[in-house]
Amino acid sequence: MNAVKGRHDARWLARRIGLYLIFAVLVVIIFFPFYWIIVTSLKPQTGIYADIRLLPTSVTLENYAYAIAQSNVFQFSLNSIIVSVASMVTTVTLSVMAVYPLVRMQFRGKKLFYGLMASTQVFPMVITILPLYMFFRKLNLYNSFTSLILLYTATGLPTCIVLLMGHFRDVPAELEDAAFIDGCSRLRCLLQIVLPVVTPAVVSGGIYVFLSNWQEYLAASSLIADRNKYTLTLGLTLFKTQHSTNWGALMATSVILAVPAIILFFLIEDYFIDSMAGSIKE
Amino acid sequence: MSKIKAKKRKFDWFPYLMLLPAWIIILAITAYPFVYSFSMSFFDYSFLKQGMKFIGLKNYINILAKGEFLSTMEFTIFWTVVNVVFMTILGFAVALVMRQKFMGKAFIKATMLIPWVLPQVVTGYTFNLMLSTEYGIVNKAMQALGLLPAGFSWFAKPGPAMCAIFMANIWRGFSFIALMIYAKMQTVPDSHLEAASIDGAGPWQRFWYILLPYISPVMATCVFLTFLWSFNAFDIIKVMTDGGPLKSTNTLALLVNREAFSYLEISRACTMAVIMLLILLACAGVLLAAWKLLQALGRLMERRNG
Amino acid sequence: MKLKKVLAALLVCMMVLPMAACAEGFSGTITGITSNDVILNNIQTVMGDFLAANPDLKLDFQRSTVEDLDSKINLAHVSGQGYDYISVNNSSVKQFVAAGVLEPLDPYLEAAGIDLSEYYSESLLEVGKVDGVLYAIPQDPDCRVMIYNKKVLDAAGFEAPKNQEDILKICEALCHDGVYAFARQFSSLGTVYNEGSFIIANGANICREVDGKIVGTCNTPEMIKSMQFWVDMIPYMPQDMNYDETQVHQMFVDGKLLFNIYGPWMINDTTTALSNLEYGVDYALIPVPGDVPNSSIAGGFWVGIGSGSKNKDATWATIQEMLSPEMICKMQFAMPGDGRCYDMAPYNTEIYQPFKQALTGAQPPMPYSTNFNKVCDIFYDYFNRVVVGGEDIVEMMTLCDADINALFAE
Repeated sequence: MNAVKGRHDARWLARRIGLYLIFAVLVVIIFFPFYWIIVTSLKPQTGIYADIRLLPTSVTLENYAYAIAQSNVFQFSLNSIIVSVASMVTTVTLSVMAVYPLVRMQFRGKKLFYGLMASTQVFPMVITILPLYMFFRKLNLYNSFTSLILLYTATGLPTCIVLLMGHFRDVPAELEDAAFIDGCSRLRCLLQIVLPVVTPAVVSGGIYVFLSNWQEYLAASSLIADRNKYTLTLGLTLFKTQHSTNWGALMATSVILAVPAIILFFLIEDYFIDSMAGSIKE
Repeated sequence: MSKIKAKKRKFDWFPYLMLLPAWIIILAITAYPFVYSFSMSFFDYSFLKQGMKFIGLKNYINILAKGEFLSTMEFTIFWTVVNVVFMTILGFAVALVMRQKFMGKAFIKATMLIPWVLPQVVTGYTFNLMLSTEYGIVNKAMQALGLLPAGFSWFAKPGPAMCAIFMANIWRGFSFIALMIYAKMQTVPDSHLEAASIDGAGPWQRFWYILLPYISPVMATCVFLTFLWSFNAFDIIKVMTDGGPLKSTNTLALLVNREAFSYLEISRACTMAVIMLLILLACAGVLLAAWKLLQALGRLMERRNG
Repeated sequence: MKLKKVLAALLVCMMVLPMAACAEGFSGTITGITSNDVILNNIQTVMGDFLAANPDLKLDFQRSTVEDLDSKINLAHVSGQGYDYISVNNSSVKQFVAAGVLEPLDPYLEAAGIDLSEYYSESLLEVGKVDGVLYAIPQDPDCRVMIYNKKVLDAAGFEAPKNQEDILKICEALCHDGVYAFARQFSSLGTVYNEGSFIIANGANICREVDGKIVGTCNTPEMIKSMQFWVDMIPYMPQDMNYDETQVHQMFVDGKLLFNIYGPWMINDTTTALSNLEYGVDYALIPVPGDVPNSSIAGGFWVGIGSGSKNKDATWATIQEMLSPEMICKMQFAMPGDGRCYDMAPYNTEIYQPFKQALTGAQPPMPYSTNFNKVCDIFYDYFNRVVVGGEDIVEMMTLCDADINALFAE
């Protein structure tokens, strides 16, 4: 082994250096815009246009103070959390309910459902929001979280179902057969046998839905009108009016928006990656 | 399958009940607007007047015959293809790099989703600020390194403006792709690769004959997803160039948005959306045919190589 | 027994009825929509007395961004749940009336015995009128003047420019090494209102109303002269065209920008860099230089009552209260349309005088029509093809006229 290593020393070193170079470039590319957001949020108002260097000369928390005090960022965060968590729960529940029969059972209408799911992904939301606005108005659901949650559930279902299907297929049928022989009903089978096995997939599906809805803008801006019901992404628009832009507060709110999502992902990343690997079976 | 035979006599409500909520929500919230928009495209509904009448295919003819729809369509397809190619290539390269062992890998894995988590409008604003001629860090840095002439503007001419929006959109998307491909790569059984390596296959051959076919389904999913995202991409372009200098970065999504929310011509906007859908389906059909062709080619090569 | 019951009922009625009459004021909830954060932030406090006098009345004002304002109002109207209090963009009055969104206001004015022409200029009132009927009253109007960098000009020995040739002379002398004359914003409305200020200052118009029909008037000597002015300005403008006003003001404060179109909406904004400068010393406001003296483009927001409102009287009372000079001064809008406000704080200061003067000559950038945005986009496209694309002015203006005429021929 030593002889092999000796022979590859120079090449191995070159490869190593090349790798770290690529790694450095990658870090810069992925992280730099976000670094710039953080840096801009920490600059005083005068510095945003004057102080253009990699490391700012003066740093202040006044933008965060402004965002939190003047514009209710905590309220917005709470709204975002409510909407994202609620839509995550409904999407995941309905997905699990839908995937189980799709994977385990034969019945009419399966292909129809697949077709419906695939085709609804394709239409741009810019147009669908118009009739939806009128629909929710007629149901008196306009300007309520319910309408937003329903919309997010509908848009999240197809992706969540696809993510879960691969994992459900992996659960061996024998597990359930044993319970069936013992007289277990289908529902109990699902809840007590299959679900514990696919929990990582369910969690990852939920996280994906949560993150997509956390940063969504178009539907929220169309369906929410009360300022105290604004989500964080809508709250950003408070800083960009027709005539002026408060860059510092805008960037501060962006950081507040991104950090929880990043932390969440950091905590669940192993789950997420493993289950994404398992779910992509074609 | 014994459980199915046992229940054949009694009609099994279970699957239908379980699927019912999903059916209802998707029908009400996604299918109904589509049907509404499709039917609206045959009328002349707009907020500029009251009442509407049926005008058949007039909207389709008007939009396709005159105006900027066709030239915008060309740019949209160009935009989509370039985005898909670069996102996939970049994502793939990143996934390959991630397979190696090095310090700080966990840091990259955790932060890799940042571009995807930020709202698109924030990405647009940030790139605007970074690429500004007077106040942008990118210009200052690249001018210091001598890579750009002084007073270079990203937003003045069509070429640089296109580069700017490509940069922003590709930055946004490639990390998600990288994650998906990396995840799949991790599941390649090491035994396969070891066996090949013992047989004398070099890294390139291991990559081409084992890794690539294994992850090709994921690549197909990625291509499909990025195609969809890029075709309908709206916020980033609107915030950065709003159709660009001299309409050079106009995409169909921007056109539809303008027609609906600025001109308030609802029927025309619905018509454009339906045409967009048809274009998307056509492109998907082409992609699928190309995919099947590639698979057939792959099988052919396998047979020849034994 | 029965008589006693009747007497008791009568007694109760006699006690309750006067009390019912005393529960005064309007009741219900007035839903409003506006993009004006000044209103949204201050309405409950500033209107405190009014709300106390009408204890059963609630004001529910919703916020919208300026881009979404019109579509939200229209969508609410067609859904049968139109707003009561509507903030109307100056260019949208015609479209709202065509869609039946707004309620005529003349009956309310007559009943209240108010004659608006005593306090508002004729041209401002015309903006809110369609076919002679008033649908919207100026609440937050504005007009544009030119701001110039007095410090830089004084240091170089220049006086305030009196016409567009003066501007070019100053630019020739001072605009190099990163100093620019104007900065453009990349929006069609921005171009029509800001760059367009110089166009109407020369007596030109994008289109005019001739015999009740709107005709494109871009291929006229005045317009060609204005376009030539902008072509001459190209070397003196920065290449980026996506500046927002915050950046523009920063450039101005840094001494990198000599002129800009300025509106009164920034005067109260403490986050703009200009608030660090001293008016009259560091910068000053003059009417937009051109061949026509004292011309200015009017814009801003009007206010109207929704035609589908179920609470029109209460809405009118609220609007009437909000439009009183005391309220306008308390809520600090961009600038008042009501002439009386200029004698009251904060509008009696020096910086508002140029605007008060410009208001007398303020006019819309072109005759309003339901497809105003589309006309702006057409002009914006041809404007850019000349100024950015370098194409021939006469050819582009002819094409512009052709497109505008085709649009109105449909």
